[in-house]
Amino acid sequence: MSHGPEISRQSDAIVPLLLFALFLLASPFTLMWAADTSPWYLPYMLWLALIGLIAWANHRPGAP
Amino acid sequence: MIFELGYLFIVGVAYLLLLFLIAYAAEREWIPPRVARHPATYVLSLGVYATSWSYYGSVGFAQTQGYNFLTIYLGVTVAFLLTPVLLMPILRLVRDYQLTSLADVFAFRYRNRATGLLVTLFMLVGILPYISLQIRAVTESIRVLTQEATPAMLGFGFCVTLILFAILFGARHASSREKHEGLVVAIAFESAIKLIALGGVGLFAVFGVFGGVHGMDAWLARHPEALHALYEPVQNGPWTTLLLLSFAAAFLLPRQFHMTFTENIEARTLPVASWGFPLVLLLLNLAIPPILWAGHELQPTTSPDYYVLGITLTGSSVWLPTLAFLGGVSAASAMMIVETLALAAMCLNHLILPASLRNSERPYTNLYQRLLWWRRVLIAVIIFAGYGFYLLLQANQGLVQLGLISFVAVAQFLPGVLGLLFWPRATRVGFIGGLAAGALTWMLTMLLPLLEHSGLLHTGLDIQSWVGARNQHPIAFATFWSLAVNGFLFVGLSLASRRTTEEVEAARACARDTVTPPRGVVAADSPQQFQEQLERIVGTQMAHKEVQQALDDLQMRQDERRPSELRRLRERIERNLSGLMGPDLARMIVNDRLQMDPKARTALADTMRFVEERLEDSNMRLQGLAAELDALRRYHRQILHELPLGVCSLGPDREVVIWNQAMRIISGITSRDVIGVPLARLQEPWGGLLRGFVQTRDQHLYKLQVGIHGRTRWFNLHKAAIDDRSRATDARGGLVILIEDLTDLQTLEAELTHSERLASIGRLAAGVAHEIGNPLTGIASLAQNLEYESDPAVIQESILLIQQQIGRIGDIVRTLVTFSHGGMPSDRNMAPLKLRDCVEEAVRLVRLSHAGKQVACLNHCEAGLSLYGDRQRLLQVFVNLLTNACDASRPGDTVEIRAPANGQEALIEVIDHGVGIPSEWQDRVFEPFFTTKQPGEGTGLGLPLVYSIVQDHGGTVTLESAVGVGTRVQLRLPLVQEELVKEGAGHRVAET
Repeated sequence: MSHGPEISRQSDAIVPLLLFALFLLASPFTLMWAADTSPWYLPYMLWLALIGLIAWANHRPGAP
Repeated sequence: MIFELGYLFIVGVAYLLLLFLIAYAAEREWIPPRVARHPATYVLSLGVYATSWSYYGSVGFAQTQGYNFLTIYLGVTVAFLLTPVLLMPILRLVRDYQLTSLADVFAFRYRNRATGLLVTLFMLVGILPYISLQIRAVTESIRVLTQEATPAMLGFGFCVTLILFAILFGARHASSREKHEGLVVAIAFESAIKLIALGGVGLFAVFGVFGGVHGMDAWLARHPEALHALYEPVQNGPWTTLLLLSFAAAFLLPRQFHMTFTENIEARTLPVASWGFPLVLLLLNLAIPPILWAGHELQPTTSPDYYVLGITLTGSSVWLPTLAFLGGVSAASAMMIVETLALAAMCLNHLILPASLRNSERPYTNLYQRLLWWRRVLIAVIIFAGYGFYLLLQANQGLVQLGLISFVAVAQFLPGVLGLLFWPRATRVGFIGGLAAGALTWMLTMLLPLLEHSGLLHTGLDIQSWVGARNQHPIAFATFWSLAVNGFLFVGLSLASRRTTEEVEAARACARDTVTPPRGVVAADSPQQFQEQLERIVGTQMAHKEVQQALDDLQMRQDERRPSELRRLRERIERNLSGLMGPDLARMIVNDRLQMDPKARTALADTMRFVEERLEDSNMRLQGLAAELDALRRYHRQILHELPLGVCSLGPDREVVIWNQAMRIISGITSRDVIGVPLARLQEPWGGLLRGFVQTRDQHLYKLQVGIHGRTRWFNLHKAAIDDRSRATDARGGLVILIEDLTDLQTLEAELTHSERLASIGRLAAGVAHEIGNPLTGIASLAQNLEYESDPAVIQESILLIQQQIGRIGDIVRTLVTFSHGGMPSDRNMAPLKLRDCVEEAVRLVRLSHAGKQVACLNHCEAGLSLYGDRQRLLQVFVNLLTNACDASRPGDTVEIRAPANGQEALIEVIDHGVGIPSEWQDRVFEPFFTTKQPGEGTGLGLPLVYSIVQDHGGTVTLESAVGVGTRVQLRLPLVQEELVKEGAGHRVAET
């Protein structure tokens, strides 16, 4: 694993993404969206949004 | 609709044949290599994660656990989100050290044979339920389509077919270090079939069963319990536990590790997979809810696990159920093939080979073939073990249940992986202790209940009841306690135990950015010795091939002798062997056969090279002070390399550390060929020259004459010691040598000297013509008289006079020819000479000129004084001084040349009483081209040449003058005693 400058650049994107993923999937917010009143496709939309953010983080200008 | 067994058999076998054809076409490059290397192919190949569990079992899972089924794929998304810090480092490690499995990675980091053994055995036991699940899914799917009980041999036949294809796909070469592009393309194709099949069934569910999206929405509105059934388990089920399990499974399952890392062809594809693979999983699972609801609507006779097939049977077409069936075959076969290949590599490296090599007394004659056949046998054994497990288990375990048991097993490797990447303090004791405890807990909480439930064991053990956690979900209970025990022991035992030197090195290698210079010098002297040593264990063929492969990889020659390069070769051989037989055995073989010299010190050149390479690698990543220091280092290095002087720096062990561009031009030897070479082995004549200079006390040598390839060259050499304050005070430091190439300068000087000599002769020309003319006139007159003379006595006297005059002309001509001789630097002839004779000859020459005739040159040099030098050049000195003195004198004046002995040197004075030199010009008279004479009367090179020649002879020249009084030029030249003539003090000549 690389430490130092490289990880500090990567953590610019990884840390917020991870926090967002945990917020979506492993926090009380999970219980909020997993309600009967939510449309059936909501989990897929949230999943797709997370995938989109991962793609943006990996291919944004200046990404290592 | 009912299908015939024969039809399904033909379709299944045809599909597998198609797969093999695709793999074969990819390996033969009928399918362009860019397809195999494309990121999309890599992403699809990772779809091997979706097995029969995903294909069939997800619907059953959704039935019982609602949207909890999505956690199996959401956890993978989180794992791939962490690609830069979690997956890329593992990929680098795998590629750098040619590690082919998770067991190899752990054996590399936690250096102990028990590590690889334990990981392999636990992985085998943990994955067997998963393999049996695939066989169950295929046989069950056939039962659903044929509506008949499946013949017992069908599962066996499926296994035999898969063994054949696994061998053809991935065991045609001896080594698992070779990439299988065919396998990658075939698995990618299978993932595409799964996507198409599930997508097709999903579309049938939406449009065929509900009449469209609106129809499905209307059905959901009528059946709100359907949505409730999906969301409610998220609130109350093991959501977080399943997320954690699938996070670990994403890269720790043998098949996932194999496709993600071992079969990764291009590293650039992994960042694409970080979002591409989750997208593929999303698309695969998008169809699950509609299929589940279609099953609720149509109520087929199958269990929810097989709704994918069941709902298609209600239609009228044959192709949809066939496609759905093929999707299931794809899912099962891909998983079994890849999983088996991965497990076979582990078993070979950590079970079979260690036992085999330890017990073998003789080297193997063909180890490659043995490895190949062992691999094939292991593939068969593992698949049949999975089949045996399938036969033993009752069919009352759901597909998901079996899969989750394997997931909890694989999760036990998570602490070890985290330690590998992020905690250098972790030790093998901690890893083995934690893993063993976690495995035991898994057996008690997962495996034992499975065997009890299948009727194979009756222990009455109920761990959950014992600890009062009966209400907890079994998966959550097993996961928590196994990981807790594992993690606690991993950390505790690691802190309580000491790391060995090997573990410290391994931890640094895994951390990678810690700059650790290499240590040690290899005992062997050459690649040939490497081969001879390796032969004793692995046989001649393998030893030769592996050494040659490593030489080719590093672009080294067979005649490589530099210690630093041999150490690199040793490391490369170890890595290549690691790809063949695992890191443990590779290290054992290399440590045993290619030993390091315990007394030798690591070369400074080696350390410098390592540091420079690492800094080059990290150049783009350095920031702040580190970046500034690196820029400064590059600037200083550039200065050294661009210096017009040759720079050769030697380390404490006298190996070449720096050899700059000017040295390359001077010597014709590139730095690549010389860096790291000990001075004792440097090619001649440079080795001899530098060794000699290093050993002398002189810090400087001037105008050293060296013969190189038949050509004489001149150098100034300077040296200075480098103190290394970090070393012990009695340790020898390095040395820096500067070399100035004076060859061109010396050649130019010689040409100027020659020009000056010719100019002198030119000035003498008129006098020479007069001197020769007089005797010629006398000869002509005597000859004329002889014509008429008859007296023999007069004739005899005339003949004698003619001979005297001829002799006189001969002397003048000989003197001129001798003086005009080129005297190129390579023609210099150092020899003892009498000072008085040399001065006398100079006087004779000067008398030939007009000014020389009018001034009396008096030679008062002592007779016994001898110098050691080049007669021609010293003659030039005296001619120039006497010429200047005569030119400055008035007709009738005298010029004296005195040379009393003065100890070890002669003090030669040329004194005239001429016009003198003004004081403001006295400092400039030795400047080239400075003259007080009219144009055409002097070149201005006379005194500079005098200065240069005297200096070459180890002497000095000074001048005193006063206007109207005269000038005194003093030369100091070392004298030589007759008995010391043969000892060469002064200049030495080195010849090739």
